[in-house]
Amino acid sequence: MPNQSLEAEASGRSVDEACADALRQLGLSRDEVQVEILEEGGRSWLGLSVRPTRVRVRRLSKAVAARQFLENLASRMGSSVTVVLGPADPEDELVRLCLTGDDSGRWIGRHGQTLDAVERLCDAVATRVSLDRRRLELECDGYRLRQRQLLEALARRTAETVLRTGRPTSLEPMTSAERRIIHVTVKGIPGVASASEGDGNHRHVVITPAK
Amino acid sequence: MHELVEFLAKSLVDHPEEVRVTQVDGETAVIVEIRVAPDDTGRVIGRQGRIIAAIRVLARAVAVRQGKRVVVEVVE
Repeated sequence: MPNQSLEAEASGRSVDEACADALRQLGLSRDEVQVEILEEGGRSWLGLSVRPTRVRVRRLSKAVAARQFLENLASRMGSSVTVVLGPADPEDELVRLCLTGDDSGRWIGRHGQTLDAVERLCDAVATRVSLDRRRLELECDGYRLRQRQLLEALARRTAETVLRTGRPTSLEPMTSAERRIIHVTVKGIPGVASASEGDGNHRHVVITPAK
Repeated sequence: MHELVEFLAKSLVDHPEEVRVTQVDGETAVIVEIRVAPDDTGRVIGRQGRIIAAIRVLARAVAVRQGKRVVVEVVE
């Protein structure tokens, strides 16, 4: 089990050797850390004693680790997409990144399933590297924003129907992120409430009159 | 395909040097097998198989461009 510290120090006969030791402690590879040389090693002026080289390696931040993963992934997919850091989250619960470029459509996929898959993999990799457990949100040329607006409109329309008829209404199955958008929207509308029902791929939101 | 899956697996685990990915090419389908260190199995599969499911989505996205089906399995 690798060390859960944010940084590690080690010494050795060369920078490579010292880094290798520090990286072993954290269970990371060279491109997953920042290396700082604390002391250059070498022989004393008579060549009698050898001073070791000391280094400190520090885990990359979640955003930087995520961007690096995405850039490597893009080059392996033969895609020219660019990765930019997204706007900071005011509540500090999210780390945001955006993909942009000519072939960004390839990264969204049908119903956004490629983007969801890339987001999940990227979150897992960046969490392992950084130990930062905030959720990663990956945007791709405004796709998430457009989806959010569509879902908010759907929630408002359905809430109006429920208020008019007084009858509970079920929506289509959705991912947890999509359901969250519905719940937040419904919460802002007086007279209706929402809950998620069903398991796995069938989990969906039901909007009901508030009691 | 092999290169993409190997990159994903190595990025996810604690012991990338123990990752082995093999690919068998059929006429219409490609079979990709992932082998990792025993304590890394959970990292490539994920809770409720969410990580391996995401790997399959990406592998499929690449395979359709070659007009093929792809099967990705984690082998113990």
